[in-house]
Amino acid sequence: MSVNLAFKPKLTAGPKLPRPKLPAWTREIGWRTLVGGALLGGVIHICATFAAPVVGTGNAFQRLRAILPLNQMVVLPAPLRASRSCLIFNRICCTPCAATS
Amino acid sequence: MSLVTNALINLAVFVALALGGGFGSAWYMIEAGSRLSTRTFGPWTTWTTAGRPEADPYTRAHTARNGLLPVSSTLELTFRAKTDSSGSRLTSTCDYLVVLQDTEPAWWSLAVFDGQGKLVQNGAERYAFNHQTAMREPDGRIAIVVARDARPGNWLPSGRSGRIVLVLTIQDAGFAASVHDSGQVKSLPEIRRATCR
Repeated sequence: MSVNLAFKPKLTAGPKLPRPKLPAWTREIGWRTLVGGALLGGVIHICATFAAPVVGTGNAFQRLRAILPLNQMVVLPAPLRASRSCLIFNRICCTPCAATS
Repeated sequence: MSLVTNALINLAVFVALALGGGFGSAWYMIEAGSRLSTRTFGPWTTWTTAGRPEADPYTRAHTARNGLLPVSSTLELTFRAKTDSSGSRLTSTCDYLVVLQDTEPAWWSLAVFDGQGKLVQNGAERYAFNHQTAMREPDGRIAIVVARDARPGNWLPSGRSGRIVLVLTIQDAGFAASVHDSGQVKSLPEIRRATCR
């Protein structure tokens, strides 16, 4: 029995699918708008990144400053209950553990 | 289309692109990170310059925005996993097995947090294991089961919090140096999904 290794299936053209059309208003957008938007987006990206540590009010030091005594070293133990943890992704115990240390 | 309509369309696209692209990309880089600021080992991701004076702007923003208090990453690295080793999202409806090995002499800790980064409330009041509290197998390995219901051995409750995040902290200057130098890194534990409800 011989096998024709050179056999190639004949590809038949299927039913033509309609090409998706963009809405007509997209043709009104100029390249200057796109480039300008991207450039301003870059500026906003840089400003937002540098501003985040300064503008934000929820950083760890600000949270701990509100509950810890001034100029006094305090050992923060691990919490005995989940509700006593005040920092995210951290197991530092805040008040009332700190007050009793 | 009239000239006014044309101008309005261009203005709307300009503003949407600038604000959406600018704030959106900044949010993504600060929250999720990229290769510029993080390193990924399987499901584990760490911010490589966290807690250091020379931290890059994305790491600074990430630390401040999330209220984190990291130790310098030259001494301690904190790895977070939101997915298991197969890439599926970690949830409290599934049980997971984390096997640690070859971690000596490093100090390590494995903790479970909910999707918002808070400790998972549980009746056993058990939130983490470390190299001193975890029970070892005869061959030295440490198997930790993360599950909703109690399990024998090292069981970390995942509660009913929905999405969970595993946080592995390793204090080892040599290990941290190998991560920063992009050199050969000790393998981090695999997170295997056992069963799901």
